[in-house]
Amino acid sequence: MSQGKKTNKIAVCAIMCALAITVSALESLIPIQALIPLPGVKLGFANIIILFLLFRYGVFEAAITAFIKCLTVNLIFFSVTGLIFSLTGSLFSIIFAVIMKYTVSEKLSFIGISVGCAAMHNIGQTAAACLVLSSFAPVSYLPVLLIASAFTGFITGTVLILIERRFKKI
Amino acid sequence: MKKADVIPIAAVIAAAVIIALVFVPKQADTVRITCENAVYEYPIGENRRVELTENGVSLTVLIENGRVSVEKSTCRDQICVHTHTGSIICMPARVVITVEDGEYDHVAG
Repeated sequence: MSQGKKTNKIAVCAIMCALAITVSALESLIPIQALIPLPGVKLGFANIIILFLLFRYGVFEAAITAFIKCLTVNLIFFSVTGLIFSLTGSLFSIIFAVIMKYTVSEKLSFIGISVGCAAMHNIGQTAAACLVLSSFAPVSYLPVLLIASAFTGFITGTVLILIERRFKKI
Repeated sequence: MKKADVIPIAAVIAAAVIIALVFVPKQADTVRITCENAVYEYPIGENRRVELTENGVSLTVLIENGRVSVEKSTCRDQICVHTHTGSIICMPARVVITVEDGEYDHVAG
Protein backbone atom coordinates (compact mmCIF):
# COMPACT_ATOMS: atom_id res chain seq x y z
CA MET A 1 0.00 0.00 0.00
CA SER A 2 1.40 3.39 -0.90
CA GLN A 3 2.21 5.88 1.84
CA GLY A 4 -0.72 8.10 0.86
CA LYS A 5 -3.20 5.26 1.08
CA LYS A 6 -1.71 4.13 4.37
CA THR A 7 -2.13 7.56 5.92
CA ASN A 8 -5.61 7.76 4.53
CA LYS A 9 -6.43 4.44 6.16
CA ILE A 10 -5.04 5.47 9.54
CA ALA A 11 -6.97 8.73 9.41
CA VAL A 12 -10.22 7.01 8.51
CA CYS A 13 -9.74 4.42 11.26
CA ALA A 14 -9.06 7.10 13.84
CA ILE A 15 -12.19 8.99 12.86
CA MET A 16 -14.23 5.79 12.85
CA CYS A 17 -12.91 4.96 16.30
CA ALA A 18 -13.96 8.32 17.70
CA LEU A 19 -17.31 7.94 15.95
CA ALA A 20 -17.86 4.47 17.40
CA ILE A 21 -17.18 5.75 20.89
CA THR A 22 -19.46 8.76 20.48
CA VAL A 23 -22.29 6.82 18.91
CA SER A 24 -22.06 4.14 21.58
CA ALA A 25 -22.14 6.66 24.41
CA LEU A 26 -24.98 8.63 22.83
CA GLU A 27 -27.23 5.67 22.10
CA SER A 28 -27.38 4.87 25.79
CA LEU A 29 -28.95 8.31 26.23
CA ILE A 30 -31.75 7.65 23.75
CA PRO A 31 -34.80 6.65 25.79
CA ILE A 32 -35.77 3.56 23.80
CA GLN A 33 -37.14 2.23 27.10
CA ALA A 34 -40.09 4.52 26.44
CA LEU A 35 -40.84 2.87 23.09
CA ILE A 36 -39.73 -0.63 23.97
CA PRO A 37 -40.01 -1.42 27.68
CA LEU A 38 -37.29 -4.04 27.60
CA PRO A 39 -34.34 -3.49 29.92
CA GLY A 40 -30.93 -4.17 28.47
CA VAL A 41 -31.86 -3.69 24.82
CA LYS A 42 -29.44 -1.50 22.93
CA LEU A 43 -29.47 -0.20 19.37
CA GLY A 44 -25.88 -1.21 18.77
CA PHE A 45 -24.96 1.52 16.32
CA ALA A 46 -21.27 0.95 16.96
CA ASN A 47 -21.62 -2.29 15.04
CA ILE A 48 -22.28 -0.25 11.89
CA ILE A 49 -18.82 1.22 12.18
CA ILE A 50 -17.11 -2.03 13.05
CA LEU A 51 -18.64 -3.79 10.06
CA PHE A 52 -17.78 -0.84 7.86
CA LEU A 53 -14.14 -1.14 8.89
CA LEU A 54 -14.16 -4.92 8.57
CA PHE A 55 -15.38 -4.90 5.01
CA ARG A 56 -13.40 -1.89 3.88
CA TYR A 57 -10.05 -2.63 5.51
CA GLY A 58 -9.92 -5.88 7.43
CA VAL A 59 -10.08 -7.83 10.64
CA PHE A 60 -7.29 -6.00 12.43
CA GLU A 61 -8.77 -2.54 11.91
CA ALA A 62 -12.24 -3.68 12.94
CA ALA A 63 -11.02 -5.58 15.98
CA ILE A 64 -8.77 -2.86 17.32
CA THR A 65 -11.51 -0.25 16.90
CA ALA A 66 -13.99 -2.47 18.72
CA PHE A 67 -11.49 -3.03 21.51
CA ILE A 68 -10.72 0.67 21.93
CA LYS A 69 -14.40 1.50 21.80
CA CYS A 70 -15.24 -0.97 24.58
CA LEU A 71 -12.39 0.25 26.77
CA THR A 72 -13.17 3.92 26.32
CA VAL A 73 -16.95 3.77 26.67
CA ASN A 74 -16.72 1.70 29.82
CA LEU A 75 -14.04 3.94 31.26
CA ILE A 76 -16.19 6.99 30.61
CA PHE A 77 -19.01 5.36 32.50
CA PHE A 78 -16.72 3.92 35.19
CA SER A 79 -18.04 0.44 34.57
CA VAL A 80 -15.70 -2.50 35.06
CA THR A 81 -18.51 -5.07 34.96
CA GLY A 82 -19.73 -3.40 31.81
CA LEU A 83 -16.27 -3.73 30.30
CA ILE A 84 -16.23 -7.52 30.69
CA PHE A 85 -19.60 -7.88 29.01
CA SER A 86 -18.84 -5.34 26.32
CA LEU A 87 -15.65 -7.17 25.37
CA THR A 88 -17.27 -10.60 25.34
CA GLY A 89 -20.21 -9.40 23.30
CA SER A 90 -17.99 -7.62 20.81
CA LEU A 91 -15.71 -10.65 20.56
CA PHE A 92 -18.56 -12.99 19.66
CA SER A 93 -19.93 -10.40 17.26
CA ILE A 94 -16.66 -9.88 15.42
CA ILE A 95 -15.88 -13.59 15.15
CA PHE A 96 -19.28 -14.06 13.57
CA ALA A 97 -18.75 -11.12 11.20
CA VAL A 98 -15.35 -12.41 10.12
CA ILE A 99 -16.75 -15.88 9.45
CA MET A 100 -19.54 -14.29 7.43
CA LYS A 101 -17.13 -12.11 5.49
CA TYR A 102 -15.00 -15.02 4.41
CA THR A 103 -17.81 -17.41 3.59
CA VAL A 104 -21.22 -16.11 2.61
CA SER A 105 -20.87 -12.38 2.07
CA GLU A 106 -22.08 -12.63 -1.53
CA LYS A 107 -25.42 -14.08 -0.54
CA LEU A 108 -26.04 -12.00 2.57
CA SER A 109 -26.43 -8.26 2.61
CA PHE A 110 -25.39 -6.22 5.63
CA ILE A 111 -28.83 -6.72 7.10
CA GLY A 112 -28.37 -10.44 7.57
CA ILE A 113 -24.86 -9.96 8.92
CA SER A 114 -25.96 -7.22 11.33
CA VAL A 115 -28.78 -9.34 12.70
CA GLY A 116 -26.30 -12.14 13.29
CA CYS A 117 -23.81 -9.76 14.92
CA ALA A 118 -26.48 -8.34 17.22
CA ALA A 119 -27.58 -11.85 18.19
CA MET A 120 -24.00 -12.99 18.81
CA HIS A 121 -23.31 -9.89 20.89
CA ASN A 122 -26.25 -10.74 23.15
CA ILE A 123 -25.27 -14.40 23.32
CA GLY A 124 -21.74 -13.41 24.29
CA GLN A 125 -22.97 -11.11 27.04
CA THR A 126 -25.39 -13.75 28.34
CA ALA A 127 -22.61 -16.34 28.39
CA ALA A 128 -20.34 -13.95 30.30
CA ALA A 129 -23.14 -13.22 32.77
CA CYS A 130 -23.71 -16.95 33.32
CA LEU A 131 -20.02 -17.44 34.06
CA VAL A 132 -19.81 -14.49 36.43
CA LEU A 133 -22.95 -15.48 38.31
CA SER A 134 -22.32 -19.26 38.10
CA SER A 135 -25.93 -19.64 37.10
CA PHE A 136 -28.09 -20.18 34.06
CA ALA A 137 -30.50 -17.46 35.12
CA PRO A 138 -29.35 -14.94 32.47
CA VAL A 139 -30.38 -17.39 29.74
CA SER A 140 -34.02 -16.83 30.62
CA TYR A 141 -33.74 -13.32 29.21
CA LEU A 142 -31.93 -14.37 26.06
CA PRO A 143 -35.04 -15.14 23.95
CA VAL A 144 -36.24 -11.57 24.47
CA LEU A 145 -32.81 -10.19 23.57
CA LEU A 146 -32.65 -12.37 20.45
CA ILE A 147 -35.99 -11.16 19.14
CA ALA A 148 -34.82 -7.59 19.80
CA SER A 149 -31.59 -8.41 17.91
CA ALA A 150 -33.58 -9.26 14.82
CA PHE A 151 -35.03 -5.75 14.85
CA THR A 152 -31.96 -3.78 15.89
CA GLY A 153 -29.82 -5.77 13.47
CA PHE A 154 -32.23 -4.91 10.69
CA ILE A 155 -32.00 -1.22 11.51
CA THR A 156 -28.21 -1.10 11.80
CA GLY A 157 -27.82 -3.23 8.67
CA THR A 158 -30.00 -0.86 6.68
CA VAL A 159 -28.05 2.17 7.89
CA LEU A 160 -24.81 0.48 6.88
CA ILE A 161 -26.12 -0.28 3.40
CA LEU A 162 -27.06 3.37 2.97
CA ILE A 163 -23.65 4.51 4.22
CA GLU A 164 -21.81 2.10 1.96
CA ARG A 165 -23.56 3.46 -1.10
CA ARG A 166 -22.29 6.94 -0.38
CA PHE A 167 -18.81 5.78 0.53
CA LYS A 168 -18.18 4.11 -2.82
CA LYS A 169 -16.56 7.27 -4.09
CA ILE A 170 -14.05 7.67 -1.25
CA MET B 1 -31.68 -6.68 1.28
CA LYS B 2 -31.00 -10.00 -0.35
CA LYS B 3 -33.06 -13.18 -0.31
CA ALA B 4 -30.66 -15.14 1.87
CA ASP B 5 -30.97 -12.49 4.61
CA VAL B 6 -34.01 -14.30 5.96
CA ILE B 7 -31.78 -17.16 7.04
CA PRO B 8 -30.03 -15.40 9.93
CA ILE B 9 -33.23 -13.60 10.90
CA ALA B 10 -35.24 -16.84 10.96
CA ALA B 11 -32.42 -18.64 12.77
CA VAL B 12 -32.27 -15.97 15.49
CA ILE B 13 -36.04 -16.07 16.01
CA ALA B 14 -36.06 -19.86 16.02
CA ALA B 15 -33.25 -19.90 18.59
CA ALA B 16 -35.25 -17.49 20.75
CA VAL B 17 -38.31 -19.73 20.62
CA ILE B 18 -36.35 -22.90 21.35
CA ILE B 19 -34.53 -21.37 24.33
CA ALA B 20 -37.81 -20.02 25.70
CA LEU B 21 -39.37 -23.47 25.48
CA VAL B 22 -36.40 -25.24 27.08
CA PHE B 23 -36.09 -22.84 29.99
CA VAL B 24 -39.65 -23.36 31.17
CA PRO B 25 -40.58 -21.81 34.51
CA LYS B 26 -41.03 -24.60 37.01
CA GLN B 27 -43.25 -24.93 40.01
CA ALA B 28 -42.58 -21.72 41.82
CA ASP B 29 -43.09 -21.21 45.51
CA THR B 30 -39.76 -20.04 46.85
CA VAL B 31 -37.98 -16.82 46.18
CA ARG B 32 -34.28 -17.53 46.00
CA ILE B 33 -31.93 -14.59 46.26
CA THR B 34 -28.43 -15.65 45.27
CA CYS B 35 -25.67 -13.27 46.28
CA GLU B 36 -21.95 -13.71 45.91
CA ASN B 37 -21.45 -15.22 49.35
CA ALA B 38 -24.89 -16.29 50.45
CA VAL B 39 -28.23 -17.58 49.29
CA TYR B 40 -31.45 -16.48 50.92
CA GLU B 41 -34.78 -18.19 50.49
CA TYR B 42 -38.22 -16.96 51.35
CA PRO B 43 -41.68 -18.35 50.67
CA ILE B 44 -43.42 -16.41 47.96
CA GLY B 45 -46.68 -16.44 49.85
CA GLU B 46 -45.47 -14.16 52.65
CA ASN B 47 -45.24 -10.46 51.93
CA ARG B 48 -41.90 -9.03 52.96
CA ARG B 49 -39.15 -6.63 52.03
CA VAL B 50 -35.59 -7.85 51.92
CA GLU B 51 -32.85 -5.27 52.09
CA LEU B 52 -29.48 -6.24 50.73
CA THR B 53 -26.21 -4.52 50.17
CA GLU B 54 -23.91 -6.36 47.82
CA ASN B 55 -20.78 -5.11 46.11
CA GLY B 56 -21.60 -1.56 47.05
CA VAL B 57 -25.13 -1.66 45.67
CA SER B 58 -28.11 -1.46 48.03
CA LEU B 59 -31.30 -3.02 46.85
CA THR B 60 -34.69 -3.69 48.29
CA VAL B 61 -36.45 -6.84 47.13
CA LEU B 62 -40.20 -6.74 47.53
CA ILE B 63 -42.22 -9.93 47.81
CA GLU B 64 -45.88 -9.02 47.60
CA ASN B 65 -49.03 -10.82 46.48
CA GLY B 66 -47.08 -13.78 45.16
CA ARG B 67 -44.79 -11.65 43.03
CA VAL B 68 -41.19 -10.57 43.38
CA SER B 69 -39.71 -7.31 42.29
CA VAL B 70 -36.85 -5.04 43.11
CA GLU B 71 -38.44 -2.01 44.67
CA LYS B 72 -35.37 0.16 44.53
CA SER B 73 -31.70 -0.11 43.90
CA THR B 74 -28.67 2.13 43.92
CA CYS B 75 -27.20 0.59 40.80
CA ARG B 76 -26.64 2.71 37.72
CA ASP B 77 -28.63 0.85 35.07
CA GLN B 78 -31.77 0.04 37.10
CA ILE B 79 -32.41 -2.99 34.88
CA CYS B 80 -33.30 -4.99 37.99
CA VAL B 81 -35.94 -2.45 39.00
CA HIS B 82 -37.56 -2.63 35.55
CA THR B 83 -37.55 -6.41 35.21
CA HIS B 84 -40.94 -7.79 36.03
CA THR B 85 -40.85 -11.33 34.65
CA GLY B 86 -38.53 -14.27 34.82
CA SER B 87 -35.33 -14.04 36.80
CA ILE B 88 -34.27 -10.67 38.08
CA ILE B 89 -30.57 -10.04 37.83
CA CYS B 90 -28.54 -7.12 39.06
CA MET B 91 -25.06 -7.41 37.56
CA PRO B 92 -23.32 -4.62 39.49
CA ALA B 93 -24.54 -6.22 42.70
CA ARG B 94 -24.01 -9.78 41.42
CA VAL B 95 -27.46 -10.71 42.70
CA VAL B 96 -29.81 -13.19 41.05
CA ILE B 97 -33.42 -13.44 42.18
CA THR B 98 -35.37 -16.46 41.01
CA VAL B 99 -38.65 -18.08 41.95
CA GLU B 100 -38.25 -21.81 42.21
CA ASP B 101 -39.31 -25.03 43.70
CA GLY B 102 -38.02 -25.04 47.24
CA GLU B 103 -38.52 -26.48 50.65
CA TYR B 104 -41.46 -24.23 51.28
CA ASP B 105 -44.68 -26.05 50.65
CA HIS B 106 -47.98 -24.21 50.11
CA VAL B 107 -49.76 -26.66 52.35
CA ALA B 108 -47.29 -27.20 55.17
CA GLY B 109 -45.26 -23.93 55.00
